[in-house]
Amino acid sequence: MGEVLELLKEAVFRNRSRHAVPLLDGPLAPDDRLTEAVEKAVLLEIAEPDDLLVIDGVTYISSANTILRLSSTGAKTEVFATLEGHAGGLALDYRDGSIYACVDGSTIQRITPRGETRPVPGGSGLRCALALEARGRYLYVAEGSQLYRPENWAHSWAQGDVSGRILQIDTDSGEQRELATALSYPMGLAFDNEGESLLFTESWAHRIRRLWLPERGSSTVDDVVPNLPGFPARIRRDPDGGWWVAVFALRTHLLDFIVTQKDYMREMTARVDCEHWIRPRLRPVTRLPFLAPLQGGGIMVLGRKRYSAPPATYGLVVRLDENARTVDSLHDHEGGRLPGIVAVTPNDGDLLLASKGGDAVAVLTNDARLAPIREHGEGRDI
Amino acid sequence: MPVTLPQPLGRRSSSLGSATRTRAHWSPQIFLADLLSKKWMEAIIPAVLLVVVAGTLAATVPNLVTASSIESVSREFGEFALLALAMMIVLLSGGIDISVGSMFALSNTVVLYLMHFTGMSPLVAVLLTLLLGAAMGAVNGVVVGYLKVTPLLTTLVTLIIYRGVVTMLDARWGREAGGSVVNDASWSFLGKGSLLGMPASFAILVLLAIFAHVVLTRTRYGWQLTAVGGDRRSARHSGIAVDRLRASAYVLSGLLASLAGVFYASRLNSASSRTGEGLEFLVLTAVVVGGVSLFGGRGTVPRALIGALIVMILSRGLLLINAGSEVQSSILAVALLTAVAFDTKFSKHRAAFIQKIYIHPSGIEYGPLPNFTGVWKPNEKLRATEAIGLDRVEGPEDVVLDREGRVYAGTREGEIVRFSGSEFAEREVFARIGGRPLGLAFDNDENLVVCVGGMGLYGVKPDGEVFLLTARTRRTPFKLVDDARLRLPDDCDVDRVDGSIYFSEATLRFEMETWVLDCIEGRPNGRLIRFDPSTGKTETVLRNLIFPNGVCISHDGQSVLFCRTWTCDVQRVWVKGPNKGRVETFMENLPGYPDNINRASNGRYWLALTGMRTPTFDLMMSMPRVRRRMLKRLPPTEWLYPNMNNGLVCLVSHDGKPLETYWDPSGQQHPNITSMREYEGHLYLGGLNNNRIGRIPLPGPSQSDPSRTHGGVDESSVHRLEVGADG
Repeated sequence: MGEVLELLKEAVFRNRSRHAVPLLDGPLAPDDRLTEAVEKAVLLEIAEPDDLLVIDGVTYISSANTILRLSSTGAKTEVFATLEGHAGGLALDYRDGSIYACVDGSTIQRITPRGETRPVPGGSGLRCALALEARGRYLYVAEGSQLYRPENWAHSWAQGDVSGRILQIDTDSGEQRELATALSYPMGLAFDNEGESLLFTESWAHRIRRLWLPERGSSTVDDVVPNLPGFPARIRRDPDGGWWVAVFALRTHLLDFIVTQKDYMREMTARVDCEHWIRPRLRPVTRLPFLAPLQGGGIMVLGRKRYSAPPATYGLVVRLDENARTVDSLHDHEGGRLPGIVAVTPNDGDLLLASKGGDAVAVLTNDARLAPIREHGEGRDI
Repeated sequence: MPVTLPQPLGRRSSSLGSATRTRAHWSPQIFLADLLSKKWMEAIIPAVLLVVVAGTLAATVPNLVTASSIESVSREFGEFALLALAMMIVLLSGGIDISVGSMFALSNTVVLYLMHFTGMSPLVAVLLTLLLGAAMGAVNGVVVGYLKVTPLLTTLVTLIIYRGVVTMLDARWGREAGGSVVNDASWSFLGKGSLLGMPASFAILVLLAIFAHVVLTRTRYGWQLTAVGGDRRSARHSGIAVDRLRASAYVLSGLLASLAGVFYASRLNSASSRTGEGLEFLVLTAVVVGGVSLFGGRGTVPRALIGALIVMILSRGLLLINAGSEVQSSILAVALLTAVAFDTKFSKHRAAFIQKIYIHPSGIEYGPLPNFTGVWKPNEKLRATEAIGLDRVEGPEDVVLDREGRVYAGTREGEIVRFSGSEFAEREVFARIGGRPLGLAFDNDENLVVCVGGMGLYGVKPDGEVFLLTARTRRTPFKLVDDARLRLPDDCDVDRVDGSIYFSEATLRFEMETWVLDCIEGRPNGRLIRFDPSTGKTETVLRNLIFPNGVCISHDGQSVLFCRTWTCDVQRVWVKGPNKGRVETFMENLPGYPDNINRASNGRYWLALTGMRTPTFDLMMSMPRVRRRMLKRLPPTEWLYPNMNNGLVCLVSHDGKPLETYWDPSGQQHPNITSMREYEGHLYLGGLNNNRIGRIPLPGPSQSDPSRTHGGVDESSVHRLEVGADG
């Protein structure tokens, strides 16, 4: 029935916005800058890095049960804190330099500069806390889903889950307040310069939105980047202006199509091993790879795969300017070293990328070719 | 509000057996597509219209259906239909002739005057009149065909001229000729006599119509005329004498119009100057209503006759109910407009509509996938292959070796290439066939037998000379689409005893480049065929098979094994012995899509799996509607495919048990393996999309060329041999 309705809509409203997969064009045009830069970059092998945070030039990385600290030489890591669960999104408390960290998606811990860990009042009873941002005594939490735990994110995508929300937690009183609800897996959160609004990503809706935080009254939400070609993950403010967005996988026509086929998705999630689903993925399939789905463009012909094949994995970083318009992007193509980039952060001219699918953090040293931020007004909306 | 996650099931359902189940049933949608693609469907609307008009009028108008009425209608119809034929032929050639009414009138006057004033015998007068008709047509023809004046303008001018001549003749001699009666038996026979129980004019019309139909549909002249009408430029580029053909259509038109005039004269004996006024409009309405296109290239004799009958019955009926002439012409005008509008829309949208409904996916349910342990455990045995012709061969779908150990393979350029010398470094083009060479086999006279996609079954002599074996089989009875022509022969094997060739035709509905559409459709569209070179006969052994692919005659020569790719099984059909005709399953529920199968040493077989089943694609195959939506909404590069980026060859026992597998799991060197051939202790690998032929040494004892030998091998002794080899 829904199918019939869709067809009718298509016939009646021929030019309605379909949220079709946008082309990788303009500021998003793929090139080899990242691939070349990675060859010269410092590459730290870290199992499934989840988030990156820079405090006074020192980088903190969440990975498994630990928060790692990158040594000043940038070549070695040391364990800064060990947590009782899986460390996820990180944020800085500007008041005293403490770090807030999501643990297992269910609680939020506060780690003092000396490494002491304490639970945050009001920071518990969550299901899928993914990203944090703090200001004063308030902590802002992006909770991706109220149904699925962070490790079951593929189920959330497959079910068309829209139970995500953004919370404000008063760390003094422990009071929780919902600022936005019914979100499609918010994975990233970042303030603007003035602290008037929060930018957040909605991964399953492929978009970036802005949450206005007025002094009094209720908050409002508007679209900033309405239709990205991939699934956005974390977003970070650049002290030099603008934002950096990590995109962990590219959309394909097949993904967009199949997720609308409810009966197929129901059967697939019930019968098929999650690793072999049709789904966005962080890393190539390693267990029985011949059971992974293959699209027509991906068939090897005369010994090679076509360059135009729909990518099964990808690494993408998008640069937004001060007006939150797309101005530049860095690409790690399918088969590259940095698939599934979930976090990106600038650090005094360097750029750090956390590739969860590639089990690596890349420290790209200051390279003029890497981030040629175009003049204001030159960037194009996508 | 936590949810519990569904756990993946190891097996789909305990009640389901391991065999693949298909849900293909007769598809009304495909029937409609096939029906619409028939040429005669263009006349279906006029034919229905005829029945409706005739039925309505017969039921409502009294005295329409009486013997005398039918007799007089059929007499008039003879004349009118001749004019319709004339008009149809010109329209078919891409022109128009509105001077038919005037030529008709002039012929009427001339034949009467010739007999009246010169006293000529009717026969001579009629012949002279017909000559005049041809000459009048020739004027049109020369002006249109050679001077390239627009047909409408030309025939409008001649309409006025010929009509003027009639008026002149009438003014000069009309009074003298008035009331004269020609007393001649043969003359009155034309007008009033009957032939074979029909009025003479009608009988002659029937004969002429049959003749014209045969000429237009079965002769070079007819085909060329249609081609000229369809697209003049293409016709000229194809070497057709366009000018002459166009002119000839007008000559025929003049001839037929004047014959109609002669019949009219013999019936009424009246040379009025008003004869046949406005007739061109009626005739044009008739043929267009009948489904003859105004834009040329489409039209047949039956359609012209149906149209003429509709108009005839309509005007007769309206006359009988005393409708005024203005009502008559209004109704005919509306009929003309409707017919033209329908013709335009129909011809514009038919092909697109057929394309929209051509593919109708059906469901296939697979058994559970194996655990990929034991014999199916992935290994990397194919990583150690030696490459033959690396980057010098494009898409060797099949490979075969001759007695001197040279390697032959078909390529996507339509060539058979041969590699020889040390390390097979020497490459030469053995034969150029064209099409897409697929399955290969040597027959008992050292000729190379080749299945050529898009062409048929061909042979290549040892000196490289190409010859056709067969390109047709018997048409399936009671099937709408003519399937006699071979469309996609896929693989073949030669019976070593009697020399007959068994080959598969993978699909009758798709081409080489669109094979995946057959997978998406998942219907039994293929067949297994036997060609006997000694008698030259081709016979269909089995039809309605789901993508029959590899073909291999069993070691004992009694049965033929063939792979059904989309159902992932191998079947055996007995072609000799007591079980002849029986079909049974040899292997089923394979983890991949079987392509070619060949005989291996010691009574075993080699099986190539061209791609792997994936759980997501299995599910897609069981959900035809999702597949159809995918087909319609996504570009082909985005469609979900089976996983073809995997190389897998399987050694199979004489009774269909997998014994050993050879893998290239990520398809680095040999993805998409479609064929393999054992020769002197080595296995040679071909792949539909590959840039090399693989060669790998085989362990253990082996025959020199098992794909060349079969027959006389006792399967039980084979079994002992096998046990010995394994133990």
